[in-house]
Formats: sequence, structure tokens, C-alpha cells
Amino acid sequence: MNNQQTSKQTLMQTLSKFTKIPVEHIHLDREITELVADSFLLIELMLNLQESLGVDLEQEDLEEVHTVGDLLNLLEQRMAAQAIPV
Amino acid sequence: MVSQLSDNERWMMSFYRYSEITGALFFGRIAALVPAGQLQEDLTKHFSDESMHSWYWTQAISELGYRPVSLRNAYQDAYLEAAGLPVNLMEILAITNIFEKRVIGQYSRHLKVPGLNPVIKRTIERIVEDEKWHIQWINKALKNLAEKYGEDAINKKLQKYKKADDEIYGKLLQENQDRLQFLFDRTENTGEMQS
Repeated sequence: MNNQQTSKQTLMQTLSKFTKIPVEHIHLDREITELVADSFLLIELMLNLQESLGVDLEQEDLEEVHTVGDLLNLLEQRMAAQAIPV
Repeated sequence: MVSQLSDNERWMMSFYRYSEITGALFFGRIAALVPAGQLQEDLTKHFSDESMHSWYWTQAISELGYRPVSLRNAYQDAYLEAAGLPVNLMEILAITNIFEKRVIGQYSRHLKVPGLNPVIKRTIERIVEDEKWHIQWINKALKNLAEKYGEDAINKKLQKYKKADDEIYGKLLQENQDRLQFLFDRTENTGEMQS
């Protein structure tokens, strides 16, 4: 499984776990704050995703993230960037 | 024991209680997430303290012969709107550091109210001891995280959250001017509230 598949699967499964919404009903154009209305739950979700995917995020990274697809793009970019040896 | 307590004092005690419950619920969830180690230990103790503080306030209100006022918004709720969502442990600790300082400042101000009810005084003094430790452990944890995030980045976050906290506290004072005036009236004779 490549990075893109891993990140998408992890994101969808994590979102499903946090929201109790089946994976097949979570679409990339859904607003994240609509799916996870509780801010404290959203913090937990972000910590969980970073831990699962081994990426680091900061508050400012999420400024342009509105939908599930936006978050997936961000996670994929981070995974790709962190995979490149410096 | 039924003691004379103004509606404003009862509201304030209930507000403290509700904020402590909110803090406990949040730290409990974070403590459950982080891997085993010193951070997990301190977060768990922090969670336990906040939980106990909410119990102290519940007890104090009851001891004075009252029931807590039903509230739906805690001080922390306004944080996310003003400061944004913290998404990593460093940001969570930085925002908590600023929040804890505000808590100590608020409790210290309350302690200065002349003729303060002894039950309220005792409860605040008991809680403030824990709050001092909260700031200590968070400062230490932030220092440890400086290697990963950089000292400058942490300081920038602290400044950002301090600014947000000042805004939130100012707003809280404005929105609850009548309720909170007693904290200022008897401590300062300026006739206006100061944050």
C-alpha cells in the first residue's frame, strides 16, 4: 500500500471512529467541522492522526483546511515531505 | 449550613466549578491519548486535580446551602474561537500555560475581596496550591519540547495565546459586568473594572 492509500484509509477510519459515521458515508467534500462539531474532539482527532501517520502538524497548517479532502491533501503532503531524507 | 451568598458569588462559584469540569474532561482525554512517560503522568495528575477542583466547588456551594447555577459555557470554550485550535502537544501545553496563569490571577483577585466567605477562601487556597504546580510542570514540559519545536516557536505561541486570553477575559468582564463587579468594587476604588 502506498502513502496515499495509507493516509486516506487512516483518515477515513479515524474519522469514522470519532464520528460513528460509516466510512462509506464520509465524503471528501464534507466540511470537517460539520462532521466533528465538538472542538475538543477535533483536537483529539488531530493528535490521533499525527500519531497514526507519523506526521507533525501545527495550528497554522489548518488555516486553509476546511473539508476532509483538504485535510487528506495536507496529510499526504506532510507524509511525502517527512519521507524525504534531509 | 445556609450562609448569605449573593447571586453573583453563587454564579462565580458555579462558573469556577463548570470551568474545572471542562478542564478535567479535556485533560482526561489528552492523558488517555499520550504515550506512557512523564508527560502522561503529569497530564493524568493535572486531569485528576481539575476533577477534584470541580468537586471542591460543588462541595463548597453545597456547604453554603446552595445548588450550582446551571451553565453551558466555560471560559475554555472561548479559547478555541479566539486562539484557534491547538493541534499538537506543544500548542496544547502553551495554551494551558496561559490559561493556568489566568486562573491563578483570577483566584488571587477573588481572595482579595474583603469579608470573603471563609468557605470560598478555603476552597480557593486549596486549589491555588495545585494551580502553581500546573504551571511548573507545563513550563518544564515546554522546555523539553523546545528541542523539537524550537524556543522561538514556543514563545511565539505563548505570545499569541496571551493576546487571545486578554481578549477573552476582557470580553468576559464586559459581558458579565454586573456579576463580576463585586471582585473589583471592594478591592479597587476606581469605579471601573480592570483586567
